[in-house]
Amino acid sequence: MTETFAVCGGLAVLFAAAALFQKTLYGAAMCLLGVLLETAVLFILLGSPLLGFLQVLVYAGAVMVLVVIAILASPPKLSGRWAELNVPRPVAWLAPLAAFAGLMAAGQSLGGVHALPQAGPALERAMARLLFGPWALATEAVGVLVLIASLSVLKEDA
Amino acid sequence: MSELPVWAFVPLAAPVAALTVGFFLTHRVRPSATHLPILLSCSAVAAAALALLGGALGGASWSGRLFTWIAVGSMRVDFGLLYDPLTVSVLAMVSVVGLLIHVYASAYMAHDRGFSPFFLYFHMFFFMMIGLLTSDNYLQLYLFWEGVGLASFLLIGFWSHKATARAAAWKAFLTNRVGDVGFLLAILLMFRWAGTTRFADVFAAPGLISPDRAFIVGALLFWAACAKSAQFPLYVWLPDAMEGPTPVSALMHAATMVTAGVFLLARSYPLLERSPGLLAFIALIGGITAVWGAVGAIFRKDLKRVLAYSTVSHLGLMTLGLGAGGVFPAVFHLIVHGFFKAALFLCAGNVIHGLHDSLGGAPSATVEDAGGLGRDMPLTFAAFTLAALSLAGVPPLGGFWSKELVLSGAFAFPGLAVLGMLTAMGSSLYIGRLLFLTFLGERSWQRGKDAHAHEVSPAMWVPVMLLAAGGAVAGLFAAPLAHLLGAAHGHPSHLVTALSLTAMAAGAVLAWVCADGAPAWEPTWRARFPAFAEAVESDWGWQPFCHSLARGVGHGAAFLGGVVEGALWDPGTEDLARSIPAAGELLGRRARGLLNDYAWWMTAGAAALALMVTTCL
Amino acid sequence: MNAECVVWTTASALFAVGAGFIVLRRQLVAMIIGVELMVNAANILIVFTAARRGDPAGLAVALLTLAAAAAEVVVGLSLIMSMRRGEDEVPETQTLRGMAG
Repeated sequence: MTETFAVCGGLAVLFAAAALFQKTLYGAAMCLLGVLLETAVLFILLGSPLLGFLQVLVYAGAVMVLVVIAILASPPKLSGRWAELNVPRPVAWLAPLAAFAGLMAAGQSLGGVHALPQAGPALERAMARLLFGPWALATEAVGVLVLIASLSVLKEDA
Repeated sequence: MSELPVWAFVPLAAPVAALTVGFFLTHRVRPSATHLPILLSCSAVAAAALALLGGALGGASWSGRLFTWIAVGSMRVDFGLLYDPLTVSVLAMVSVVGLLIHVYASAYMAHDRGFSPFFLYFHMFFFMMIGLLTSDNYLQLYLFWEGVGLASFLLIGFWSHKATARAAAWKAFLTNRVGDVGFLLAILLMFRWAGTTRFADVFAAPGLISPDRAFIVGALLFWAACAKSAQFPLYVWLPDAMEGPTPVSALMHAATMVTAGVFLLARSYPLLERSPGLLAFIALIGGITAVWGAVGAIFRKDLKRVLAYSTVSHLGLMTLGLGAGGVFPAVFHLIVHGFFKAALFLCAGNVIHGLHDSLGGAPSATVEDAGGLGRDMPLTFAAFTLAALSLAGVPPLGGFWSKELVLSGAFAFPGLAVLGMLTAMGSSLYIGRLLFLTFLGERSWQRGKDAHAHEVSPAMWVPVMLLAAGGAVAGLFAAPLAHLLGAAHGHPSHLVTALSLTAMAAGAVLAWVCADGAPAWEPTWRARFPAFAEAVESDWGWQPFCHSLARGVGHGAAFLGGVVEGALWDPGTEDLARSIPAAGELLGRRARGLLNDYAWWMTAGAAALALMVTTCL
Repeated sequence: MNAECVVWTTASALFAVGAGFIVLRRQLVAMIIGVELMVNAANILIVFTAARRGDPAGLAVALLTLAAAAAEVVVGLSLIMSMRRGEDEVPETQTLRGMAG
């Protein structure tokens, strides 16, 4: 199980790296789609198919649609991939590398779990009970948030 | 030493009270009455001083600590009062003379616009002098020493509209400052070697027993006394100090302030006598000063300047007496001199006042303005004669006894004996000359055709008379004072007396020759020997030398300051000022407002922080 | 192979790439994509920890985070689209320069 996870995780990282180096935004969006799908697979591997399903539905579905629409709505001409930074380009690359290194260093004390833990349907049921029970307010709030967010798409003169 | 009685606080408390009332009340509300609380204070001080003197003659002495002044770490200085025989005797003279001169000043300065501030400064000086006399440690004495110097500056330059007065005030202050450096160094050395500056403790301190250390500290104290008491190298300020009003000259530069130096030496005598070479040196300087001053007095025209040089000469005699004979001759001469010199100065003031119209209101008179005043101003003439005889050393007046004591001490050393005799001759010469030229004779080259003089008011001649009388009878106090100071008081040897009387007589004869002899010297010698007159006027070149030395130091300091400022300070501060906007611009160029830049900084910073935290822990 | 290490490494790598998007790429839409990557990386970790501890709250948080991130993308994109001044301009970080300060 862990090996499968490693492979899928590696794929996700590959897709992400590919997205970073894409010349066009459209290409980056497509690679992002790949990452999101892989993440759904990772969720399923972790024993929570519900979450994987929702990931595909919301992210790979709705969010990607939005992103693609935004990209298509802008003119195809791009002035370049990379931004102009004050620091020279190699140094600029150091930042994400350092972020990775920092996170890895933070995770040094890990290594306690050997097998991939599974969430399981019982946990999912408990989650559902939690969401519509004690955390009902939070659930409703997020729902309202999504609704309000959709209002932002409307034009000004509306 | 017993505890301080109540009236021991009066000499300090009364002047403070009078000054407070005077400054806050009368100076603002009714300036013409400022002298009243001050005269009251003077009387109180005189009464207290005489009471203390009476007690001291009975064998008592007092001391007490008032409060802790400085307490830092292991250094501790207390403010205290000491009324030992030395203090009490000098205080008695200072307070009586001070009272009489204050009374005189209330009449002399009556028409001056600065009447009220004058009295405030004058009494402030009086207070400082008393504080100086009653101090029980060197640091406190130094405080009042400086206070007296400050008062001197304010009073010499009192008529500040006159450029000469301002210059004289500066000269006095700066010359005294040169001497004060010595005092300060001495105090620092005392702290280092003895750990304290209280007189009793300093004299008993083991760190100062060695003759070398005592020599160094004593020499530094003597340097300070040279400035304050106008000894040879540093006397240059005293003749110019005559720019101040006459009461100032009488009180400060004759009787009290200038004697502060001698008082300091008398106070430090237990320290000074540990190295005999120092005492001999002190005596030598005193002798040189005595002759130098006498020579200066012989040839001067201005009445007050003659008396100023005479003061220099007598201060030299006091120093000579201290170095050769000990505390008693010096202090005795100090006290007697205080009386008769103050009387002489006030007589000069009377003459200036009496000749007011013919002088055109000028505050100084020369022998050419005076002449034959004995008829017009008989009381002043009588007082002047009495004081002059005392100065010359005519027996049985006070001056004779004090001068004898000094000369007999000096006789132990042949060189000093010669200097002493020359001084004795010079004293009678200059004072006789002054007497003859001012009060006797009707000479054609003196006074204008329509000049007239009037005798002064009682408020002015009574104090003068009293002072002259004091100087005359002071001989009676020799024995009690000797007993008080614990000195032996024998009679001077007949040889000394004979020689000094001969010198005095010779001087008197010469004075008559100078004034009334034929050919008439006085009016014409300046024209006939201009080079000599020039030399005498500049004190044989010493005054111009000191002047150019001071100017040189000033220019040197200004030059150095300019160099430091131009090469170091200005460029440094300007560069610093310019570098800050430059640094701001440098940093400013980093922040362009671009999201990517900020994001980079945030990411890199957070990552660095995480790395640091995890690797360090 | 240690499961925890694998999960941690995957999540860190995804996060770092997301950070790289934000730092290095020019267009604002790219930044949105970067944020999405970072949120997903965090989500993976949350689900893993929830599964490990058997805590339903973790799963619930992951779900809510999903929804909130979606809402955020909507708002962000609409902002970016409203920034378009002319037909030819792609909203880049350079165009934000005038808004600095």
